[in-house]
Amino acid sequence: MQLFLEFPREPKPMNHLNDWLSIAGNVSSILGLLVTLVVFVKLRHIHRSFLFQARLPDLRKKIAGHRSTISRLLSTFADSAHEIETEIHRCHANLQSLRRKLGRVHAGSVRNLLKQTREATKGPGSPSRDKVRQIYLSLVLLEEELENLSRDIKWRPGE
Amino acid sequence: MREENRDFKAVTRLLELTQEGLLKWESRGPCDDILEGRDIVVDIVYVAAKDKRLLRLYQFRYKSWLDDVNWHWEEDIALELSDEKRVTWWRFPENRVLQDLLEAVKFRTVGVDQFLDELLGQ
Repeated sequence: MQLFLEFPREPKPMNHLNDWLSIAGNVSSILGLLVTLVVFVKLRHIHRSFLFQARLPDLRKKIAGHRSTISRLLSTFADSAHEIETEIHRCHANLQSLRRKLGRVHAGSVRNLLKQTREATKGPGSPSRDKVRQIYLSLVLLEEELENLSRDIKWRPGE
Repeated sequence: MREENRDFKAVTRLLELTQEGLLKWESRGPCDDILEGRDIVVDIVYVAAKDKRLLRLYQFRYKSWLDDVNWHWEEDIALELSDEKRVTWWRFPENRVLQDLLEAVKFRTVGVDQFLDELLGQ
């Protein structure tokens, strides 16, 4: 006990240096963590945009296919209830894939369309003609949006 | 309402009427007035009467010149408002719904539906 009380209260200059080094080490660790996080976010963004650019033509083709099929089935609506429902399910799956690849800015219209396809297929009975027509129109607009996005990407490869 | 939006809605409405069988279309041979030398090729022109006006819908191929010597064919669809004398008053702007309208018109005019019914009923 006596020995402990005799411990020098004033730290030596060497201890100051140790403290500063410790603080600098901590700050560097935090900065390193932040840099790692920023790099992770950037890499994720690059990965997503690369994946999106690579998949965009194929996804556009699929959306155009769904639009065309739904339009064709609307001509024989009364006899095509089952086919329409199947097509909307397939369309829903492709839209989900598209939403994961799109950035937040462009994902809005896909989210709305997903809501429409979900509502059209839930519950008993087949979707009404009006609901199917609404999905068709939203697909036309989405296709337009994807075409514009594709043109933008050609000018801004980093997007 | 924006002009572009009105065109889009008008073509969508025509598609709706055609799909429901409320707008009757007839197929006719290529009209001479559309052809401009050998640069435009038209196969069939579909005609429908709507509110005392005539609608003409057709797919056409046209020569797209890359330079003075080289060219390739490109395809497009035209929807026009015209009169009985085939004078075009106005052409609807490009719109991807036109492709579906043409398909719906072919489906109704050629009688694909009846053909499939007959075939599957045999």
